[in-house]
Amino acid sequence: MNTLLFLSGGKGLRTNKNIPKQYISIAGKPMFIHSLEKFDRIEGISEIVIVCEKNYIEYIRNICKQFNIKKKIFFADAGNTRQQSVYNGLKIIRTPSVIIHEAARPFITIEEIENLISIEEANVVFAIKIPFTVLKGGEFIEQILNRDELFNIQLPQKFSVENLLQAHEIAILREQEFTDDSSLLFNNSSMKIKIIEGSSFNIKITNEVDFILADEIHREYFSRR
Amino acid sequence: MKSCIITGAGSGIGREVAIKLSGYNNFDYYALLGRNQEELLRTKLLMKNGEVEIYNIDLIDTSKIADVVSQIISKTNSIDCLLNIAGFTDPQSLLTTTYDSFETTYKVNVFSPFLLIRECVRYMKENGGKILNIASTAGSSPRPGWLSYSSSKAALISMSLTLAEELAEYGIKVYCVSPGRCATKLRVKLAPQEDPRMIMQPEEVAQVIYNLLITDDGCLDGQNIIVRKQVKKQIL
Repeated sequence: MNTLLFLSGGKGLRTNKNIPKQYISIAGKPMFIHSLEKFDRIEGISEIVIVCEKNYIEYIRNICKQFNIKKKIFFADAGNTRQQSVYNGLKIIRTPSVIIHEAARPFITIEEIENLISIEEANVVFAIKIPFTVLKGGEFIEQILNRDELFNIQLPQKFSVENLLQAHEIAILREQEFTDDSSLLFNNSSMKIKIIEGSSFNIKITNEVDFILADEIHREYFSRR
Repeated sequence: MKSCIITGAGSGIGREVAIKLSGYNNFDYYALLGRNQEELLRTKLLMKNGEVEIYNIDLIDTSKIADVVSQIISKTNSIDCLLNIAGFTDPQSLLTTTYDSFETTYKVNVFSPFLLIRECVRYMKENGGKILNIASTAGSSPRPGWLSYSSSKAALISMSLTLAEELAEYGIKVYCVSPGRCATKLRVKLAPQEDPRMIMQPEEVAQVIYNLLITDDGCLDGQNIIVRKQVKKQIL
């Protein structure tokens, strides 16, 4: 059985809005509820841990009630970094396996979640090929990276709670900071992490332009009658 | 248990739809909502199959709607179909329309469908379903003297079309049927001089509704479906 660890601690600094982006409406409902509704319907998820700022707990509870989210929800405090937030959530998980997802990716599908859960390996991530050129550098180009060897890593991701918690504790001791848990686990353990094909519709809403894309994706692929 | 809620089930289109649906074993459970208990009992007696329960509620009292839906859910665990058929009219010109009359019309024709849909969708969104709202041709081609009725039906048309878009991702289809002149009690208020035998009958609208609920697979939801019958006028 799995717990959903749902990251909703973002402060929305890059979108220049008054409220964190995950609480802004897309297609008529708050961004975060789009994916929570999907996870709520997955049998392989037993409960949900939402990591968020304390002052949003009541708001989230209220929206979840209105949308009739049935799974048991626990809350954990958002940390100063994404990594701290995940660690805070991991510590209260009671199942052997965790699915980590973020509120800013509203377009995950039920089929994709079920596929992730059904894969035998304990540690699994979604990724898509990079269709553009990626270079390393600062003021000047320093290195050409071979895009055929690179992946755009997406959420949700599945991990063994034991493996990931241990890797997080090593990262704390080593004072390392990662922006993604597959990187953290890869760096701090010998566990194999399986890559499965993600979807280019599963975008992360980050900038203003993503909100425009989000409405379009919802209209064309989720709300099509 | 496959369940269906029908408002305005005591007479007219609501009664005919209830009878038609029950005749073909379409649902296991029917909740008939209406303000006249005797009329609802009469409808129940005419229904052939399925468990039928009566909820004696005047939709003007919108505060009772959430409670009725939870009572139904506690018995059925799901709601597969909601038919908002009840309607109210008090035709008046602008200068004689009271606030109370305007409000009552909106409570029955707009607010109660809104509340019923909201409460039902909380459950319906799990497995999908069908919602059908009875609007009126008056909602798109208004007449003087029908201010509250026409504008309330226009609101219901717009609500239906909006919700068809919003609820599509849950597999919920929202239909909007706008009958033209139909021989109901409400029509008598709008056109008391008309011979009801010469216009469309509730059974005919019920047949259209039945077809939408049972056979349509997503080609006709999200549209204002106008149902009219050409009736030749009697030559005197």
